[in-house]
Amino acid sequence: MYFRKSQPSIIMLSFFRKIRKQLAADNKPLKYMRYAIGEILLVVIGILLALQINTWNEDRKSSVREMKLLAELRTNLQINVKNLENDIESQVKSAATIDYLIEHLANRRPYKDSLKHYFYDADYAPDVVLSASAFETLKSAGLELIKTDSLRSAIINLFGIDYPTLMQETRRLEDQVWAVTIVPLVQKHFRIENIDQYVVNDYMALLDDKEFTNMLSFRGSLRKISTVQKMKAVEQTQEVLSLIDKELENE
Amino acid sequence: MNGMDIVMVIAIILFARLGSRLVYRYIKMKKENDKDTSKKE
Repeated sequence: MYFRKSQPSIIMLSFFRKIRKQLAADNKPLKYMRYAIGEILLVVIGILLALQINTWNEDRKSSVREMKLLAELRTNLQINVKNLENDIESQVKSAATIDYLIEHLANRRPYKDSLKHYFYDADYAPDVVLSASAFETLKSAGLELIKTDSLRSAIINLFGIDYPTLMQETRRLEDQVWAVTIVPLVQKHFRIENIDQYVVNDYMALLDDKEFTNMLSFRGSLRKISTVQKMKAVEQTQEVLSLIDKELENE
Repeated sequence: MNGMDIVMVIAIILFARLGSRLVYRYIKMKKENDKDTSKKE
């Protein structure tokens, strides 16, 4: 094939040929190449070192942040355990009071003054209050901040499944009967004199009201179910707490 | 300024330094070569 070379390309070719011939005279291109490769290698090593130091520093920072968040989470969980234990205590007391009142009403025992306190105690159902501020912070910072897989999944299960289930179940149980059944019956049979006293309007009418006794026994069973769920939640929280403690000790 | 930005600055400085050194060495080598050629002539 025939290529017609242009004038500038011929000039360029002869220029490079001249340089090559000149440099090849005492092997200078090889020396220069060796020098250039050495310099490039140094630069690559320098950048790799900088990257490595950066990665190490980022790891250190994320580890410090992880420990801080875990400590916060531990505080939250300790508060939750305390709240749940208080709830359990008051619910057990409330369930026992309901049992006592059912027995009292079923046997048509005479009215006594202390009953107004018992009726108040029977009506009290604590709300579930759980602290999750550290988990929210962890979620916004990225859950992958927790490096241990088992701990991460335990925390996600606790805040994503166990606590919402407990809250929904407990609310659902109480909400089912609160507005429709409890409030009308309480308004029918009691007047609230002090904040912790339910004074009976007509004790005989209360004894004859089977609906009220049924409501009491239903709430007693709800209280017991809720207590069991809260005990389970305490157990799950303590499991996560022990995992966090282990993680914090290891660091 | 995070760590990656610092790494980028270091990389730019190192590459700039590399470029200048390579050009400087090339010019130096060329000058020496020219001297050698003129001596031979």
